Amino acid sequence: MLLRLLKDTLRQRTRRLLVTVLAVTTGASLAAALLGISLDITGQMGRELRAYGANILASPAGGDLRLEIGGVPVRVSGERVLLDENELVKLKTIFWRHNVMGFAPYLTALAQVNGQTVAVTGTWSEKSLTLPKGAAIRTGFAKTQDASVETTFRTGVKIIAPWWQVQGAWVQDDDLGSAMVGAGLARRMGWQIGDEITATVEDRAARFRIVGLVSTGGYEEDQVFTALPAAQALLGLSRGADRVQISALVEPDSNLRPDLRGLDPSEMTPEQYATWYCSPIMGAVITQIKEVLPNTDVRPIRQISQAEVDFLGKVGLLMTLLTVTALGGSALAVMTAMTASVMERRAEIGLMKAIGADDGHIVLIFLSEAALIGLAGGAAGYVLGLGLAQGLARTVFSVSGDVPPVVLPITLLLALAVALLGSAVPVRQAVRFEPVLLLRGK
Amino acid sequence: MRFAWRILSGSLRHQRARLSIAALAMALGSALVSGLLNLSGDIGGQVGRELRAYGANLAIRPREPSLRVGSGELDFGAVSAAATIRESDLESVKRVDGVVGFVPYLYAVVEAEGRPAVLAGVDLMAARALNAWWQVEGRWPEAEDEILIGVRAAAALRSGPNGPSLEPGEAVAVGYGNEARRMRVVGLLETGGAEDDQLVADLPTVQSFTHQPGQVGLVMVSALTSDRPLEAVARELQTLLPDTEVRTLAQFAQAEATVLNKVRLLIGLVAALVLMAGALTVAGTLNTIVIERRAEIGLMKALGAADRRVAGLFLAEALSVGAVGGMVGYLAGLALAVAIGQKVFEATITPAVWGLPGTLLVGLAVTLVAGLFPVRRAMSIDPARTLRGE
Repeated sequence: MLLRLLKDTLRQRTRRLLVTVLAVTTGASLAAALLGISLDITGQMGRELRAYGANILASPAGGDLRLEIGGVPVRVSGERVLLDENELVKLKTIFWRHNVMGFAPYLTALAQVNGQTVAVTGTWSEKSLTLPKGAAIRTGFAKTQDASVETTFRTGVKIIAPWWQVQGAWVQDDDLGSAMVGAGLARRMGWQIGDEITATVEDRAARFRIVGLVSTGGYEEDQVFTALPAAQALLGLSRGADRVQISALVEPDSNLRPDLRGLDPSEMTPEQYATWYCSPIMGAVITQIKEVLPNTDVRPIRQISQAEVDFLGKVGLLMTLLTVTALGGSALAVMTAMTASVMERRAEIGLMKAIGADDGHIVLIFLSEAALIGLAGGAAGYVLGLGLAQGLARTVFSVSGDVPPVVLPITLLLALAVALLGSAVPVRQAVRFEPVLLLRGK
Repeated sequence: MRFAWRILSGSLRHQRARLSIAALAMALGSALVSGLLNLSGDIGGQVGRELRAYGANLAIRPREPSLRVGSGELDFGAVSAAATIRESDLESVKRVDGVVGFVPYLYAVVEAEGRPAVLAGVDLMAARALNAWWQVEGRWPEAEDEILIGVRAAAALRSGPNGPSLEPGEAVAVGYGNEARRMRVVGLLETGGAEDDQLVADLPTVQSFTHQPGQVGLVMVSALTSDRPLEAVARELQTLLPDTEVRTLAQFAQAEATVLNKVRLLIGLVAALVLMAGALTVAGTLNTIVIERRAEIGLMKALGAADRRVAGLFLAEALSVGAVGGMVGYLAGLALAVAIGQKVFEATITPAVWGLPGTLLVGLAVTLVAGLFPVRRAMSIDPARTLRGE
């Protein structure tokens, strides 16, 4: 009986129903899109914040103090302790390898150029690295797996320091005869693109042709940049770097499981430690980097990492507040649409009552209709919301946004609840009236 | 006209419950608009202030930087006259529009426990306020000859080859030129940057130690970018301090601009979506009202009311919903802005002058558009058929 009534309604009032479902759909799609965006906002915004550059610094453990003033080395002290740049590919085997956006090694030599002491730094512009097939990759806490395919990726200054403005060309990573010069240094020395300079360290000399000028406003403006092997040759080394900058996506510690926040990893139970280890937070990422690069001092660059974490927390909070308001708005929209659809059919309710239907029955019929509308609208709204979230993410973050699967049940439940609530009030009002009045259209 | 007013006020009274839902929906939408308008006129300003936590975005350096190297092994060529900046010149920097603050530095290479190390003189008051990422274990220096020591420096200057790291409370022998002083470590400094390898003392300590009273070697300036472009601030600083070189730190300036634009865009889009939901609600409500009052409208028309008159009546209702919703929304939005200001940005929000007119205008415009569809429906009602009860 109930089913037949519902089917009839569907057939006979298709247009009207569609209008109502459409309203529910619009409301639900807004809700789904906003939920999707706000649940993933720290991830998306975190990716944007990587424009601030590396947030982790790895340097060889031990060794002497770095004598740097304003980022430019003034003297390289006696004994060099170095990192092997060939080991760096292992950064792509840690558990959070996909969060390692890029890294670049640096090796600085103080060389004599034109009778002046100049810092010559070797690095990677956009080096292509290959992780061989069969390399051990962390897939869980205390779990490794051999890589099934060979993977190649690019990393270097171009990726971790997008603010470098290079006039002319970048140094190719295999080109040992070219150099980029900081714009400030070039101005002081009167150098131009195309000039040749000779750098001397002790009895070793190398000639470089200037191919580009680097402007950053920072200490890079006072240095000469070459390919990493060129700086190594200048220092009489075959390999090595004295620091590595790493750009990694990390989330605020507040996203950690509540019972782990503020705990010292060394005091955790094994189960707690495993969970901590598999959370994309700074502490865990640094622990994992130390595992693949032993004898290395790995530290967060606090200027970047702390501001990032604070900012992400604030944006997350802001988005939550906005989303709650927006959800309220769409709930009201759905409710009024449902109310309108019941109001239209008051005469029908009167007729039902006149021919002897009892109130409970009528309420049941209308509420099951409302439930159907809510579910249909919710489902359609979810699909539309996916598109909307994609559009939003593409407009704002220029990436396609992923809506977490948990949004589907939330949207459906919300649409269902709001649709029921929106029709319950007018239906209850209607069944209380005398059928005669309803039939007369009052 | 008086008649129209009576009809309007009567219908507002009778439809109170329903219209208040519509007004509530508009209020929610307007609350967001007003909240955003009130967050110091532009949320970008607040977010921009947050992003300043990343540190300075401008650097002021002597035109010809020179380094005073205590042990004198390093030849940096001829040292020109203006090798440092006079601290007294920096007074004017504070007054430049957009400048949040600045931290002056003076560096020297010294001998610490017989090994070369960098001693940084920093205006500690300013650094404490602006370099939020400096993490100090122990306390900040208060007296002269008290220093902070970077964590890597503390490990490198340990007593024996395998002895423990230097800890707060211990003293370090620091030599510069012919002078030697014992400085007491009061705190361990960790920044993940160059400071980890340095000794950090208050600026006057280093100025007197290196015989450069009133001189600084580098000034890091933090400026807001939301009100005026950073380049304008840089140009103004350059004219104020002609002997220096003012540089824009692209790392922070560029990233900040990108992130700010994204946040602005995101919030704008969200507000637009919420207003859309509000418009839907208004349309739904007016629709219900038109359906309910079909007979009434039919009667009005049968008695000779022009379509325009009927339309005007419903639009007036829509506008009252918009006005009430806008007003309530303005107040709610103000509260929202204050809450966001406190919770998220830890700032006190002063209401923007154009917050109220702006919110009302947006609310009215949205309800007007939302009202068009139900009004068309009301206009198309056929009096003969409705009065028959079809």
